[in-house]
Order: sequence, then C-alpha cells, then structure tokens
Amino acid sequence: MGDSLSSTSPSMASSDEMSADVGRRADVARHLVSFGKGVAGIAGATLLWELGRTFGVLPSRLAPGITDIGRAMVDGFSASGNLTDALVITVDAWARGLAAAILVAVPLGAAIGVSRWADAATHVLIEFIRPIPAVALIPVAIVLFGLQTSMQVSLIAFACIWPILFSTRYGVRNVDPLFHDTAKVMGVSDLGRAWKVTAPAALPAVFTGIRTAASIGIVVAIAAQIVAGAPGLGFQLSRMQQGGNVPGAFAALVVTGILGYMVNLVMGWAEKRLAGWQHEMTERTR
Amino acid sequence: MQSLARRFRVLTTLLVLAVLVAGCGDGNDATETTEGAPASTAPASTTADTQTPAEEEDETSETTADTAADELISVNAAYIPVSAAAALHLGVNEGFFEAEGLDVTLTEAEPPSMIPSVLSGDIDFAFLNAPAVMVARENGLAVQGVAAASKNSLEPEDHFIQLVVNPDSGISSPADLAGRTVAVDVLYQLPHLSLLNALRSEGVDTSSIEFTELPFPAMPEAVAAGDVDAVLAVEPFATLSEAQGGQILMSASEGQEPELAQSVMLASEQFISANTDVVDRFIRGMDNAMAFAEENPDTVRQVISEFTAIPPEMAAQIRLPAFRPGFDDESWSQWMDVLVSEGLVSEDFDVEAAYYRP
Repeated sequence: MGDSLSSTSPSMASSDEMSADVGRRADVARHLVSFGKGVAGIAGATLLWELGRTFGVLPSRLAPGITDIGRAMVDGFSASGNLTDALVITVDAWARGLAAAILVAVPLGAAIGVSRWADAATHVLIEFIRPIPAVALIPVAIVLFGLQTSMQVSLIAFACIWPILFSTRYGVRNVDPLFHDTAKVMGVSDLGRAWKVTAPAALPAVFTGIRTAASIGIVVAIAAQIVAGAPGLGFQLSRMQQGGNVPGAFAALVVTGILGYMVNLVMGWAEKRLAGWQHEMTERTR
Repeated sequence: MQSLARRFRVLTTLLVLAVLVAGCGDGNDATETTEGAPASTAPASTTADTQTPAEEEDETSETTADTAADELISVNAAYIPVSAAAALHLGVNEGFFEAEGLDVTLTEAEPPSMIPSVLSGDIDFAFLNAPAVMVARENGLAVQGVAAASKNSLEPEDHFIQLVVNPDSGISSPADLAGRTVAVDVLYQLPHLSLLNALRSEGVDTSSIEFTELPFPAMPEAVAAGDVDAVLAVEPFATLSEAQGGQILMSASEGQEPELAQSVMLASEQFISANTDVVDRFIRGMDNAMAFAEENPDTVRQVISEFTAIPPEMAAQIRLPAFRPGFDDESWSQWMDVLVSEGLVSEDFDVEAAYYRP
C-alpha cells in the first residue's frame, strides 16, 4: 500500500486502472478457487468409489476401478474403438434436433404469446401432446425416418420444442407494457414494435427455454439410442452392457456425463454473452 | 442500447444459420460409419436390378469377374448385437451372400427397431425370432420369417440360454420353482416363452411362478445375492453367473423340437412379393452361412467378439447357439402352444402364413 502512495511520477497508473487490475486478479483467483473446489470434489468422489470397491460395498464386477474405466475410455477413443464416432453422432443429432426445435417453437411460442385466440385454440392440443415421452414414439419415428440419424433428430426435436415454446410464450407475454407504450408514443409501427421491442425483450426468456431444451435434448438422444439401438453414446452403453463389458459401459457413461456438462457450460456461456443483458442490468443496479 | 440491438441481430443471424445447418444435415448420412445406417434401398429399384443379372447372363458369354461384381444387388440387413447373429455376419464375411449376387450391408440396432424399420422400407431383412414374428402378425403387422438365423443345440446343457439358481436357494429341480421368483430379461420374449415351454414339458405348473424382469447384465449379481430365486440368463451372463457360484438348473430348450425356429431373418410381405428373387438368393446365402457356422465354431467365436462387445476371452468360453439351416412346417407350430396359452395369439392363428417358402 505504502509503495503506490510514495511514487509521484507522472507515469503512475491512475487509480481506476489499478482497481481494474485488482478486480481482474480477484476474478482469476475466484475462478481458480472454484476450479480447485471442483477438482477436489471429483477426487473425493473417486476416492469414495475406490473405497467402496475395496470394502465390498460396491460389487466388484459391476463397479469397475477407475483405472479400468480410464483404460476403456482410451480404447474407446482409439482408432479401433467406437466412442469417437458415437460422440460425434450424438452431438450431431442433438444439435440438429435442437435447431429444428428452435425453428418450430420460437415462432409458435411467439404466436401464442401475442395472440390470445391462438393461445386458446392450441392450449388443449399442446397440453395433450406435451406429456408424451419422446422415447415412446420410437416405433413411429422409425417407420417415418428409418434407422438414420434423422430418426433421433425427430425425437430430440419433439422433446425440445416444449420448454422453448413455453418460455417464448412467457417472454413475449411478459414484456413490460411500458416498453410497448413508449414505442407507440414514439410512433413505431406494430411490426417495428415486434422486431425492436418485443423480440429483444423476450429474448432472455427464449434463451432460458433453449438452455433447458439443450439438456433435455441430450437425455432424449441417449434414451432413444439405448432403446432403439440408434447409433451414438447410448447404444455404445447398451452394447457394452449386453456384452458383459462393464468398464466399456462406464466409459460410455462417463463420456455422456462430460458431454452433458460441456453442453451446459457452452449454453450458459452463450446465454450470458448473447442474451444476458438482464443479468448485467440487475448487477449494475446492485 | 446500440450494442444491445447489435447483439440481438448477431444472435438472430446465428440462430438462422443454425437452422439452415440443421436443414442441410441429412446429406451427411451417406458418409456415416457402419454404426450409422447406410442409404436405404427402395423395393422398386431392387426389382429393376433383379432383371439385370439374369438378362446379362443370358446375353453375354464374356462376362469378366469385374463385371460380375457390378451385378451385385444391394440389400440392407439389421441385426441385434447378440451371439445368435453370428451366422448372418459370416454370410457377409465369408462371401456366401456375394456368391448369390447380393451385397448385404449390416446395420446394428435393438429389438424394438427391427419390425418398424422393415415396415418403413428402410431395412430389407431384420433379425428377430419366430415367436415375435407370430405375435407381430397377430397384431396385424405384415411381416414373415424368411430364413433361420439360429437353432438350439441338440444337447440341452449346451444351450446358450440357461436357468441359473443360487445354490443356497433350495431349488434342485424344476418342480421346486413353484411359488418362487424367476427373472427374465423382458416378459414374453423368446427366452421367457422358451422357459414356459420347457417347464410345461417337465410337468411344472407355471402359474404359481412369479416372473419378473431384470436386465441380463444385472443377473449374475442378483441371483448370487438372492434378490431373485432364479435367473434366465443368455450368454455371456449364464457363464458369468456360474462364475459367481450360480448353478444351472435347466436349459430353456428342454422339451423343444430340435429344428424349432429360434432366431429368424424376417422381411415385410410387401418386400417379399416385390423381390422374390432377391429373397430366394438371401435364403440360399443364409443357409450356406449357417452350415458353415455350424462346422466352424472357432470362427463363430471370433466373429462374435468382433461384432458384439463380448471380449475375446469370454467369447472363447461361452455356450454357442446352433446354426443348422432351414425351417420346415414343424419348425413354427410348436410355438403355438405356449403363445396361445399365454394369450399372445388366438387359437385360429395361421402358422403357415408366418413364414415364406421359396
């Protein structure tokens, strides 16, 4: 503290820049600490797993050791293994299903958010179809799309539509009326208002729906692969189980978990960057 | 507010691009690995192809080996990654289908996908089992068995589906199962129906047995721990159960006719009637592959470790299905008894229509 005060040279950094520096270092330190905590958590879980195996709490054949799982993962990602293809196919199907769901659900959600009669007309139909589990529709999807990736994409899209639909409807419905009034007073046309006021204001809610749908999409992709035998991580898991290859099954499971984590990470980052001004606004006022 | 508007425009542009990418996606399917589905063959195009090889053989006498390769008819076959699909794989690997002028592409899938994919025209031949074909027909699905894919071993103790009990359970004969719990993988599938047939042939009253579902991979530990009294395990889990101290009580194949159809290749009636020549060739190729598999168990064990996740050292130990080719009129009718008494088909079910005769 005393050092910075004692210097009086003109090249000394302004107090603003210095506090920004301190702020950045504090940020980095915070991230390192939380990363460290995460690593410690995983290490602790691994330790518990191995202890469980050693003391017979976990059955040794069905709960392989971490090194066996690691070796199975390495084999799986090698040239002769199936995990790389399975991962790529899963991500591909998920991305296409999510994109298709966005394409359908955002306009539909906006329509029923804006129009009361459209909302009333579709309400019963939506509430009827919505609870159908995507996995139950596998035979229908196979008859329509065969065993190609588009079969999985159709199921993922079906499951992802609902959270996006409802979030969009909510976002459109709950635009602060003050924004609409202000725009009208400024002479903005109805269409201009839809584009310049409603859409940006609803965007954070839409993105929340997309983020929820993203996680659901992974679950449905894996489930469809397990049940239908569609290619991907779920089928790898099932195949390994049926072959009695338990480390291989766990390898597929771990990769699935990592994929789910990465999806959540990416969606969270994207939400913050592209639709996070609500967070910013609330943080600034604090 | 300026940056807000810009951000919004960037976001919508990205979303639109994402949607366009989604729309273009399916073009990649052709380049997927064998775990993905290959391009489907519509029945119409196969019919046209059926004419060509016959015509060319009549006309030319200078057909080279290279031109012969061009005459291969492409067909798709879907299979479940289980040991009973070994003969199908050997048919491809050892060239038995190619000798019949067929280029067979294999696709992996699970049992619920088999019949829908055949009905959709995406797959030409699917691997399932005889009772499942019969139940499907009872429910109005127009599929037929075309070729046998596996049979039961002549000796019950060699059969690859065994009923395993815990040695401390006090069960030493099938009659002791009365009132006890038996776990099968999925109710009313081939193993369960085989066991019902086997128990009845031993004079056991199956109505007092409580059948429950348990996935095959969980069976060894469940029976060792006494969670259930007996498990009906398919290989490799029968061997794994024995390794954990389980005792074989009986084979699921007891009381069955030796040539009773077990795993079969099926096709839709529509495909069969539109592509009779292709189906006949497929049957010949399949029968030859079956005969080869029956004579070459080591090759069978090796191919099993390739197309299933069963490790080679396990594949070397497990009990194998039998692969005697073909089915005849008796091959299907024995299933009627157990299917009718379980209420899965009606008494006037037409067994002979369930399978195709060349």
